[in-house]
Amino acid sequence: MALAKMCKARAAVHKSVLTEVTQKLQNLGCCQFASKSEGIKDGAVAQNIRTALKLIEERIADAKFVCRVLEPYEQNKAGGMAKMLGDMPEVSSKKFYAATTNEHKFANQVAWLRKKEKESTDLRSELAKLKAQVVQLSALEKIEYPLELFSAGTEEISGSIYAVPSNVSDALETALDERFDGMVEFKRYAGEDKESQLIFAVLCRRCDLEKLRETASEFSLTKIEIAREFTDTALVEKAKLEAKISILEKQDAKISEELSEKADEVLGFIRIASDFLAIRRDRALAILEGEPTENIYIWDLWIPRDRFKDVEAVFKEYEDTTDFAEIEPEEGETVPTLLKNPGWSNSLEPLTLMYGTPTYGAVDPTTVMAPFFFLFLGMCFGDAGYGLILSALFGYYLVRYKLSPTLRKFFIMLFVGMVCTVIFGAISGSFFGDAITAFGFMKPVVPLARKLQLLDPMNDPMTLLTISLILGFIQVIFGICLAFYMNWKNGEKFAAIADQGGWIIFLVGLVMVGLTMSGKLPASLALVSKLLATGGALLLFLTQGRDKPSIFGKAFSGLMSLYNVTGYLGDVLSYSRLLALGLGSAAVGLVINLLCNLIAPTHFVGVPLAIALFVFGHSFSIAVNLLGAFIHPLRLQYVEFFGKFYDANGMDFKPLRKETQFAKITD
Amino acid sequence: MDVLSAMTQQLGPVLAVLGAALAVGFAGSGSAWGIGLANEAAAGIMTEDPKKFGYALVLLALPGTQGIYGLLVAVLALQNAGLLGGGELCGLWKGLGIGLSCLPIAIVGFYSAIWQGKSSAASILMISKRPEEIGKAVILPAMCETYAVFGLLVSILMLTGIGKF
Repeated sequence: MALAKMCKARAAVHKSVLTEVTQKLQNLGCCQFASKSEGIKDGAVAQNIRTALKLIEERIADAKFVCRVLEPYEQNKAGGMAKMLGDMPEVSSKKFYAATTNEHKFANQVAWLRKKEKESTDLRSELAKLKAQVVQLSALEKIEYPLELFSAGTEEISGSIYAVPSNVSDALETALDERFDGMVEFKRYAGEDKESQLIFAVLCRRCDLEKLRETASEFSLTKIEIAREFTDTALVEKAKLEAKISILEKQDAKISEELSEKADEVLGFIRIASDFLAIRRDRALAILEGEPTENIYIWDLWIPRDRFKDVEAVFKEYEDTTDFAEIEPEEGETVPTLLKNPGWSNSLEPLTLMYGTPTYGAVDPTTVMAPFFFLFLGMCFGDAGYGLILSALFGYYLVRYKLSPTLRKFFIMLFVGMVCTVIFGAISGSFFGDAITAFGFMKPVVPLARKLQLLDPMNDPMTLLTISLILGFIQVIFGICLAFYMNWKNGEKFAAIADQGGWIIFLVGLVMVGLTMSGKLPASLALVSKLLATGGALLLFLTQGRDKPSIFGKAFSGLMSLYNVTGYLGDVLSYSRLLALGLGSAAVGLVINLLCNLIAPTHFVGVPLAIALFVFGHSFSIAVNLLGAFIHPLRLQYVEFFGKFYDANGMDFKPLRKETQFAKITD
Repeated sequence: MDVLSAMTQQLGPVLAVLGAALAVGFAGSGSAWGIGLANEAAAGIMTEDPKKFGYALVLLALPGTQGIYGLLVAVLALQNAGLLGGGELCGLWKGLGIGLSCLPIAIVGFYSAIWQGKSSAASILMISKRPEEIGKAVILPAMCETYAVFGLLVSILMLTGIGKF
């Protein structure tokens, strides 16, 4: 059901046509390369491919480097929205190969950029160093002595600059006066942080330097080191540094300018080249999957049945140098899975894959869940006004942008969901909450809306609750039926009848008993329904313990299995969220309209404020409710529906194809 | 006797107000708490990769719905009690009923939002390593929200039921 049929083939290709054949297979994009054995495969042919692969990977790293460096300088950035939505420029394959086989240009551009990048990094580290020095000098700029006195000193005189905590400064002054017998000169300056720290510049005789050090350590002073390259006063040195900085900054700006000038051109080229390299890398990796010998490569290929002829044709072209034949998959081998659903439901494929890939040969739940999912999405969002706005929005995106395939499916899904929302909103009479009845000026459309309205969940929620639960019951039973079908198809007919059949009969019987007792179904069906319920229960009782060895174990397990009915009850009740979320959207809308009506009568500002509140409030409501209306129906599929039958242990079909990141290649 | 009848007349709306206050107060606090928990994780992963902001925002907004449900029930309760948008004020018993109808969403909203916040935080950590699994990451916290949805459902059903007498 809705899975593409796969077949397996074995192909052997001589090394002389290896590239050509794999290139053609890659163009077809429908072969998954595999091989029987695991681990490293050695063979003379593989060596060449490995060497080539290494080279390609190095170039890809180069291309990534170029993009990383140049992207901040890019001038004509593709529109943010378009890029986000996966809209890529188109390049014809002829132009593509012409542009990308220019190895020389590629190497040149990378080398040029590496040079520029190195210059720029060196400049910036030099700048950072200079700026740090400027900061240091700023703290000392009040000192009028030349700085060389403190670094190198003269023959007779030397000195130091200290950071001094202000509470010891007076004691320090006294100590300096006393210990050096007047053969010292010092000055105090306010530090950067004026309150707690002062700067002391102390000059003394060179022979007293040791004494100065002792004094400093006694008072725990921090010496400020002065680089030897500073000779003049701090102020002059700082000015020199600043001049240097401005020159370097100009150089840096020049490099940036150069980069900006060339960014677009280089990026344009490099991006296409990196796409090209990625295609070649994928091809090399696929080739390496196979079994190499001295002169040929042997692969197992997985091919969708309907593309088999195309692949066969490729090998026919090279009949002399290749060998190609279909083989039977081995017993127990995992066959890759490719989903294949009709156009109206394949937009849900990403949701199926998000849960897991279906096992080959089992049921693909995409198409069977589609009607439920769309209906539930409509019920949970449940407002015609919101639905109209969003279906217009998603429709616009679908037409305006060339979306990536996954995103396109996602938008189609939302679009269909929104159409369902419009329909359901009209049925339940919800249009921006209760905007039609809430505002007096909407009176003319009330009769029309009333005509469309079949349900009134705000005043009569029970009807919709019943509908939700019925839908839930139908989906749960449908899920069990699918499991029945799977078992039956796989030849486990007894399990199908016992495990699934028993529950179907039992659950349907139970519901019918309930309905006849409450008078919803004619009393004449009472006996039939009782028989169904009892029969189902009996069947379950007799079969559910069949794995147990003892008769007591069988009876006990059989009896206990009937308790699972609570699980099914819970599953069905879970569908009441359809009503709750639908009511939720309608009620949030109602509250917004209520507030609008409350502020509208205010003089002058009332109406504009009410309009602003209406727009803002409903936008908020859309954002919040859309998230919930998407997640909860999805959860119903995943937990309540998939849980019954879905076997998601498959392996994705990953054919070798031309996957690009920056450009779409057209033929 | 007059005092007593006046009191019973006014007590009804007061009880409805109490219910509305509990619904907004508890469900809203739970949401704030839950979002706060998720925020911690979001801020954490954004120190590594600020580009995850979009994904993190979706996930940390999830526990916010309980607060909205609380607000919703509160407004419906006030309207039902005749305190919003005109209408007759409710009596004692109806007011008590309205007050009690607010409790399901107040209680479930509070706890489910906190736990949903924790689930969101865990999911946020998950997408920091595997951003491609955003779909699964969104589904997990929604499991907690199920019970808030049920609380909302029962609160609304109770309010509509009471509105009829």
